Amino acid sequence: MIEPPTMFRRPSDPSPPLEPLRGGNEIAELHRAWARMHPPSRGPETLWRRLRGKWRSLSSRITNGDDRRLLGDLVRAVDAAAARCDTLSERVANLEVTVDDLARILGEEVTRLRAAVEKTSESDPG
Amino acid sequence: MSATATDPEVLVLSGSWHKTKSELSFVTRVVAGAASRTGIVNVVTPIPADATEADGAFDVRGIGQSPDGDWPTAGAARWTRRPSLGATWILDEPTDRARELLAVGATQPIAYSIAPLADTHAAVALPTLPLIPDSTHSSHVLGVHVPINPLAGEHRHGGLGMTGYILVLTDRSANPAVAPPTDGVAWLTSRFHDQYVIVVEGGRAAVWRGRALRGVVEVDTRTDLWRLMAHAHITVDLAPGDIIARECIESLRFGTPVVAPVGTTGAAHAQAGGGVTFTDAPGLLDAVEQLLDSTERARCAGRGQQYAEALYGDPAAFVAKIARALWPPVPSGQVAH
Repeated sequence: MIEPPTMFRRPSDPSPPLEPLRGGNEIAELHRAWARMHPPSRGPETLWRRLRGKWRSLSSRITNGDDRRLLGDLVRAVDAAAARCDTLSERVANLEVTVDDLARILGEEVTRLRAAVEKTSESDPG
Repeated sequence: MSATATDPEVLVLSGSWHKTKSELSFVTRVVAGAASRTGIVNVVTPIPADATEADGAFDVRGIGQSPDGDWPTAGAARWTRRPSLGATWILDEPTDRARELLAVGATQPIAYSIAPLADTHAAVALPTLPLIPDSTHSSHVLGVHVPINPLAGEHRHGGLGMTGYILVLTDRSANPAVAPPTDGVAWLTSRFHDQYVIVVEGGRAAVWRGRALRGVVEVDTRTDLWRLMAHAHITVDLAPGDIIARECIESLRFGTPVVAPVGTTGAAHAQAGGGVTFTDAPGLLDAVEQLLDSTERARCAGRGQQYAEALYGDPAAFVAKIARALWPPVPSGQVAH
């Protein structure tokens, strides 16, 4: 008697698609916080305003310029990591669908083939 | 209609009476119950002679027993009430010892068996009650009353979220591990990747789909099993009962066609229009594929349900048929003895 097919240890079904990280709350909140730290200038630019802005910028660069640069780099790095994660999620989802298709289509076809071989060998034992 | 003191007597010699999980016990009890509507039924079992006990409508009498719990030899049998000379005997399982008791206890026995006689060269001829259709008794089938609860068709099993699955009744005995499944299920879930295949064994129903185990639910009661049958597309009985294939009949009564192995009792029901038979794993796949076609499934379901209701769903008809089989009407001009 022909051996029965082997079972899978876990289902081959594709998982539900992951939500994109870039549109997620955490990343959006990070951008909002960054924007709050760098509000756009309001009203017409007078000489006095421009001088005051230059002074603030200069003093800020002297006191915590490195931190601000680091924060900026960090926000950009998080954006890049999120984009890569989203791309990878999409690729994994595609792979899961492919694996499920392979399991279903090839599994069914191989099973039919084995059954046909079994039938043929039974009808023609020589 | 109930028996009176002048009614004919039936002696039920039953080795399976107390094996209440066996199909033979179920059928013996149903036959005894039907016979009791028109005759006086005495049930005799291989228990100590002084151990008469009440069991439902019957007083179950002992006749003694051998050391291995089987029937005693004819010489050692102790009848607390000897059967009358004209009594009709029904042996549920015509073993050598049971037939020896019949040969010694009745001079000109009118006797029937429920399980078929394995030894075709036996000294005492013993016709089998035709409970299922076969090639020789197709027009004289008695059937049996196989009860179901139609309400089981109203609600699916509480532990399952789906209907329209392939239900498989296992061919493995005892309480095996759920995975890997029995061979037939492995073939089915591999061939029909998207179909849910539910296999019932050991009081549990294991759900398989796409070659993977999806979960296990308990099947605690007969009603649970009926619910599973009623909401299935197909019932595959890998090892139908020897006497009437009770589960095949129940499935047909719920309108679910059956797939059964050739040469089994269940195959008789499938061949009567209620399903398809198979001989091996490739044949099983072909049979299920045939019934997954909705048109073919509807055709088998309709014919099978009609067949099962007629033969196995009418208690009054069964009582009348049993009475005619055990006490055939005497042709006019002859005298009954």
